[in-house]
Amino acid sequence: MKKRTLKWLCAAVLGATALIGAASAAMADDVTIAMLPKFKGENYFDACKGGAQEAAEELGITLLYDGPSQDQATNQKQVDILEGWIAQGVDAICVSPNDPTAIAPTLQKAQAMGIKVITFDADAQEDSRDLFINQITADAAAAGLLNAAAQDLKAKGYSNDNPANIALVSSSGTDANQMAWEKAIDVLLATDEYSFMVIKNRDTDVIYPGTDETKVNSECATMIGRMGEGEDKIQAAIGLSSMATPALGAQYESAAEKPDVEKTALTGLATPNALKTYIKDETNPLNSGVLWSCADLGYLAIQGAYQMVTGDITSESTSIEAGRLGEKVIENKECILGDALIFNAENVDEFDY
Amino acid sequence: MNRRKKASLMSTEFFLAVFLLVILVFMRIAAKEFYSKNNFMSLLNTYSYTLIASIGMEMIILTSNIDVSTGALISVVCLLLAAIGKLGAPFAVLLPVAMAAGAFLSFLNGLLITKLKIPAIVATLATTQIFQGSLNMVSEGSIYDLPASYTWLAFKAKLPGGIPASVLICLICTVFGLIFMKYSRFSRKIYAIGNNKTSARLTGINVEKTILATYAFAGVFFGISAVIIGTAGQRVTTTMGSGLEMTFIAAVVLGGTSSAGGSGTLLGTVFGAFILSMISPAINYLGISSNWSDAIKGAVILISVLVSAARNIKKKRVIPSVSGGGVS
Repeated sequence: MKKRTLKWLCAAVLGATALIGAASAAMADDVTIAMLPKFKGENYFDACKGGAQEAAEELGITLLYDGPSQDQATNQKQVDILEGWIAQGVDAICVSPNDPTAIAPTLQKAQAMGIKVITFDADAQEDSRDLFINQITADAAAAGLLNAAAQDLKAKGYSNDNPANIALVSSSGTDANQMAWEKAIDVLLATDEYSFMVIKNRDTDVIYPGTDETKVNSECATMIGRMGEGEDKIQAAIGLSSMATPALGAQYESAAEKPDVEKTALTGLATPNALKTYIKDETNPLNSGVLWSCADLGYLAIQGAYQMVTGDITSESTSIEAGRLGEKVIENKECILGDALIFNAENVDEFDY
Repeated sequence: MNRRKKASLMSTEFFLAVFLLVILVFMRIAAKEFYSKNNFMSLLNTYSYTLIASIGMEMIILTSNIDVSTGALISVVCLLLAAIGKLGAPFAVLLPVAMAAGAFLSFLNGLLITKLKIPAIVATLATTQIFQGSLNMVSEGSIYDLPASYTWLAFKAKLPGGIPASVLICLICTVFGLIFMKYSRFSRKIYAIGNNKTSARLTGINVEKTILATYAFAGVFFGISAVIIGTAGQRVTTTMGSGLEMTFIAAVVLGGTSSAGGSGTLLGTVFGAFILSMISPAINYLGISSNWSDAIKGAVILISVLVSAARNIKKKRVIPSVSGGGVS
């Protein structure tokens, strides 16, 4: 008897809570958007988060932000977090997937529940998201990277008559972004403007050190050792990941016999903070870095997600009025943020990420 | 040439030394640039932190235990160093802090193994997770823009001839290790435990205490290695040591130390660590894709273990026993 009463009491309490919960959700009419980076804690995504918060405050919505830790940047961890949000019933999810295909079923599950799915930074399988906020096209990224290297190399006396050997330090060899950039770089290297830069031996001059910090460091050290003047040496190294570029700068500093700063160049993708020391150091050939505005990327992702939820834009829309960023074009459910940002000693201090 | 000398010429260390010499000569012919100052110095730097940590790993493996948490442990120490380095702590502070932190964390491993009787592989697998997990609790990730005082060891500290100072640290550790492992009473206990725990206990060795001390001692070496790894650049992430434990274990095993413990010398590890450190730059200079480097490392280890196993079958090794009773 007593047990039964308790059971009923519990049920009643649960029911009441659920009712109140539902009522308050409906009354407040609050939009909740959840953001899932590839991993937490690197300043790249921290900067995205900053932009996202800015948009959230502007729009008066609730922003949830969570992600796997850096050493556990796997699809499974991302799925675990997504499942939690799906159960909570958030309105929209912004995600930068670690694995474009493996995450798709979970994203589709969210879509089936009426949650809007927006990918940013990296895309997922096309049928598992409503909109992709692309920071940069592969062509624009490749152009930015080659431009940064070309400017520096030209200033150091390289031209069509005096060609330069270049090397690429990529990531693990499976990332969609890096692979697309490498392809675009190859296309650009064949054009007149960049033809004075040559990748001599693909096997050794395009390297894939992976994402282990120490391995990236030691392979970048080997690369620096191969740099210098002369046909059998490398004159410019371009880092394609936010890990590789600072490692190039650091390994140049550590080198026993530093390659001539007047004859070599280092550049690549990284956040300004990660390169600041090297860029400002005149004895280091790392003079510029390439990126896009991470804050704007986060901002645009939240704007897109919010307007999807409110119905201001749909998958068929061709443009979005994105707050302080103004109008951005949407094409094939893909919205592009803009061109590459090249930063150097003059403006590196303006960024804090 | 007397008999004894002949026997020592048949040792694993001798074979490794010859093997190493062959590769070095081969590189001299095939890729002269491999010996460029820059490449060789950065190779020596990699070798330094690999060997220092491998000395610690060697001691642990000799007691018939293992430590797979070393990579995570090094990550923790690196982040700790970055945190105090950001405040401007010089190398003279960083080094002792790293040694103490390494010893403490490794001591925790020892406690789990000796007091709770958890098998070493399980205990250290668990602490790997705990170390990595705690990193994410205390820090949101990476520490950036570290001052020049922090990167002093990697950027500025050079011995005459441009040799990185990490080589000097490695030399001190190695000489100390070689003498310690050969002559100290403690090392004899380590070998005895690795050979046979029960008989070691019967001879009056406090097995638990010795293993605990071994882990703590090894931790000091892990800490020193972490200083070299952590101060290599002006940013430190939570994955500084990821995956390194396998390289250390491989260096020890390649050096002829039995993975079951009890037999093997540090000298073998000295060669083993060098061979592993040079594979990656060597294949780059030979013009081979770096995708091959892990596979080649694996093959080298496999071949060396097979060769030494084959030799052991031929002549059963006489295991030196500890004189009874005297050590207590």
